[in-house]
Amino acid sequence: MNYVVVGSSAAGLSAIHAIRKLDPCGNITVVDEESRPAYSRVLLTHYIAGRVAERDLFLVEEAFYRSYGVRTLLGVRATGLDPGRRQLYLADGRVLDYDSLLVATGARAVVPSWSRTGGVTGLRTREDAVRIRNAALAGRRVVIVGGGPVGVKLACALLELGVTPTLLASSPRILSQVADREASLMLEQHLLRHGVRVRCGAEVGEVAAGPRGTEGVVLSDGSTVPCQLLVVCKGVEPRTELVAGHLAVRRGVLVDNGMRTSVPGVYAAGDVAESPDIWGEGTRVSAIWPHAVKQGKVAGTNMAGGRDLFPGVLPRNAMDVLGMPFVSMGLLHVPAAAGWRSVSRRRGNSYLRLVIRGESVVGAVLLGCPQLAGPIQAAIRKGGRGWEQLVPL
Amino acid sequence: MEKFLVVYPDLCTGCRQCELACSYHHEGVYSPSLSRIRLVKFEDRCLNVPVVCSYCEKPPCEALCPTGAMSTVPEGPYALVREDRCIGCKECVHACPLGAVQLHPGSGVAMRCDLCRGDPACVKVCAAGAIRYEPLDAAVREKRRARATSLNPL
Amino acid sequence: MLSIGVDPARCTRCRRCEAVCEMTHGGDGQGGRSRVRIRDSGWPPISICRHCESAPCADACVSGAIRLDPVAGVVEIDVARCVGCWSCVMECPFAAIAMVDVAGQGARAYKCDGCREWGFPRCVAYCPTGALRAGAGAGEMSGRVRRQRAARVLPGRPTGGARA
Repeated sequence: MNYVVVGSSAAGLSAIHAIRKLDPCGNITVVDEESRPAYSRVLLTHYIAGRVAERDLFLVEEAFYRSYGVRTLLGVRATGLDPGRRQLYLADGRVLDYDSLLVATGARAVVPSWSRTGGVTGLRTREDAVRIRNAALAGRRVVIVGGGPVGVKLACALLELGVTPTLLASSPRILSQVADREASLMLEQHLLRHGVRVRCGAEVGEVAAGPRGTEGVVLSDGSTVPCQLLVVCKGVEPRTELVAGHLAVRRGVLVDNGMRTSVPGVYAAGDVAESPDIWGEGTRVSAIWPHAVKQGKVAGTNMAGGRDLFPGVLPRNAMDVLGMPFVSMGLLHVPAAAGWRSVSRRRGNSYLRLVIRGESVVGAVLLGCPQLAGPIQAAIRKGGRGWEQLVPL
Repeated sequence: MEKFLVVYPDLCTGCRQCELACSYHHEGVYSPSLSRIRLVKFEDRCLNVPVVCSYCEKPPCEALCPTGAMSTVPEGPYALVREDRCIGCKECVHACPLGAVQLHPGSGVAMRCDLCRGDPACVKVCAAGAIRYEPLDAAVREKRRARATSLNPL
Repeated sequence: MLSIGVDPARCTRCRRCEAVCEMTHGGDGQGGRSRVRIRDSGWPPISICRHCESAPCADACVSGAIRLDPVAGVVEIDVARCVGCWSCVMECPFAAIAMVDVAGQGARAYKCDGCREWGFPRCVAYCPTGALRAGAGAGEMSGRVRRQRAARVLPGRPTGGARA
């Protein structure tokens, strides 16, 4: 068997583990456009904060590939695919034959049109992180655009370095996708107390460049926020260009619970995949680490002839916001329909909200009381009944 | 009529064919450690007891499973382990009062009798008739007869 | 893997498990270092790591700090690699992971290591009621129960009975 894995991050590595477990002899080739072994993107904010050394960013050492008998084509981009012939085309002209192919190309940072100038960076690669860390250590003023989880984590990391950043969120509150209003406001207060300048509802108009590089950012209301470095954290989008036109793609590459795409022999996993959710109600792209690991494992097992199923996407996030643990999971929006409601409890700095549909819990926000997160997640996965015994409200 | 896997220990010869058949049916190999039915031998009492899931009405293994991997299938009265959900926490192993739930030594997921979806392989190979797949009243009749015989030695 | 079972119905809340765990792991007697928790209210009543065979905490760990050690049979945290991101806490259905500042570098994930240097979990050894049970593996546990149960079988009677 010829296995080809495109992308060697969380999903790709986990698939390699799974394939080797079942097939000790098959040829595994891994293709990745980054020339060094895989590193953890999730750790980048921790690296900026100085909690993780640069060498600890790497998920595996180069010896890993050797010990697993994996042929590595690092620093090479995959450019095309012929599912009929089962061939993968590489940028250097080589053609790889495969029996089963895993597309784990991941996601790229969303880049707004105004940001294609100097002094603006994203936070997706190791180079981005090094640049941000160096700028912060040199005492530059940093503005973060985007009030999502990455933006907030970066703000906390910079604060740990002694730099007080400005956080610009285009929505009326920070973390609007992953928290409810109450939790957002509590976290915003918490950030403000620690000195982070948070501005919500701030739409960026353009970058003000001077003779010495970026001097500030002009908002759509006309005001200017001075800065020397602008970090754009506006989320990620799946990198589907390799397979577009060959496979069914919506936002990400559509897969079933076995991580199979619409074409036989081709699998997708990780941030690039759009897979069914745990309720079986729709498909979702979920760019979180545990999903990538699990999906990679499922894909690898199925590629090597085993049988495994991905239980479905359950969106979730956990982070430490300056000493305040924040966890959210599942469905957070409560539609004004019959059967939906939410219950909440607030005691001092601890806040808990459960979203209930019918009799079942389908979502939760926990601020300052994270120890309940695991049992609640288990309850959501089991169908959501019996949450009353977990949470004395 | 609802049928049950009923075990008659004093008929059991300890040949372990049930373990081998179970292992082959579920795993494709002959390995007693992969069997859902397990034989316990008491050499001093000349007693062999095949132990298998008794399909409790309120299964503690299902109640304690944190992920919902232990479940009775809605379309039939068989219990399946949803292996994709099982995290190998061993709660079911500790919960089972019979010791009838085990962990797969290789994959680490729970193993529990699924009655071969209605056609138990162990019953077919049991030459001594110690494992039967029969309605409960047949088992109760047998038990009554055994008890009555011991009261009135003929 | 190490197999730890919990039976809250047998627990008398004597808290010997917490005390012995605290002592074993260098606590000051206040309970801050205990990796097993008895709760008077809230859920779960007893929380301790089950050392899952495919541990969700290890899958979720972004820094590679949580690993399965197949030789010792435990799920272990390398505190030096942990970044305190709460991902593992979010995944554990048993609420068995806490965040404790052990080395003075901020809160890091903290949980049962199965007393690997002792060879057997001491909380289990000290539990007087059998609310905590442990064995070297699931096979040992189920085998023990199976034998105890089968020993009570009286000759001449059918036993068990699986519905279909």
